[in-house]
Amino acid sequence: MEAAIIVLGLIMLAGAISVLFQKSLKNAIITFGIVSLISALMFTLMKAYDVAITEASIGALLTIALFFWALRRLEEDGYDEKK
Amino acid sequence: MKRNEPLINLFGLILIILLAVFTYLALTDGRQGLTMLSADLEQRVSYSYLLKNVTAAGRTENQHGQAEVIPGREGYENGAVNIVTAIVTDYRMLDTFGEILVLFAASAGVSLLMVERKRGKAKEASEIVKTAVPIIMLFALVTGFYIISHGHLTPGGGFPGGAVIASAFILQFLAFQKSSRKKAFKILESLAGIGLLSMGLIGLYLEGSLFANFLPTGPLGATISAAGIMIIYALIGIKVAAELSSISADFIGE
Repeated sequence: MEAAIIVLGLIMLAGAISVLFQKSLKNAIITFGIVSLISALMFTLMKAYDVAITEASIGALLTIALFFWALRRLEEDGYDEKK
Repeated sequence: MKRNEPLINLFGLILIILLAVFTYLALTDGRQGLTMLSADLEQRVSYSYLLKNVTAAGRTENQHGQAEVIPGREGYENGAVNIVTAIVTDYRMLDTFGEILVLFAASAGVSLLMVERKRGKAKEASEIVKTAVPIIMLFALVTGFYIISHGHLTPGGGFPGGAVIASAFILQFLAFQKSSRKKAFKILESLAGIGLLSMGLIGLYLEGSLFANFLPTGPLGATISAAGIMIIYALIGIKVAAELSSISADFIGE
């Protein structure tokens, strides 16, 4: 159990650092969503089910949807990812 | 502004060190020297919360003289089986009320800053998404109501349940590209806020402390028990769902 938590924590750390260095914003948002999904799994392993449900619905769905809508507003204003 | 940055960093470091000291002191007992987890946990207030009665008079004990909690028995302080719920909605309800106010401020700020404007042409969702989303929405709504209504028995409650219900509405926005019933969200949110505050004030009037439980608790572990917590969690669920839905409706624009 502890080994699984350590491995998942390292994956989360790597994902969170890689968010900073992503070239495209879309990839960064998706990586961020994966990090919060893994953190929901970690909360489940640590028997904090209350927090896990909240993290899965808010961190992995709501935040990602809001980021994508914000990105769409940016693109409407002329932001281009390829530049 | 740049010049003050090292000072601010130093201040943050000092705050973190203070926090570490406080955490360490909470886990140690001053009389027995400084070893981790040497504190007598049975003397702490949170241990009394686990036993469902803060006052010694209402506590039940088994034949070995240890305090215990028996499912099915009535008369506990707030008949919630889920200890997290008992703390979040009864003993520490003022903190939860503050959290709700933070969420309300975030929602109000988003609707203030998000100016309404003409939406550009977004790609329309495919037929598969449009057909599947109402069915998935139904499941999400039922799951949300279940999580809210069983908050005092199983993990979950107002915040996660409200978020699940809001995610159902977000799916609707994603598939059909329009925000419906923006006004209804605002009205529901204010009604739930007024209800929460009046629950707190009634508790203050009847029991002498804000958000005190004044309704009958019922048998421990029954589906309909802990009436006060059920009402408070239902109100929190409605408020959170309406707030998160209205935030996403503001984002999607007109």
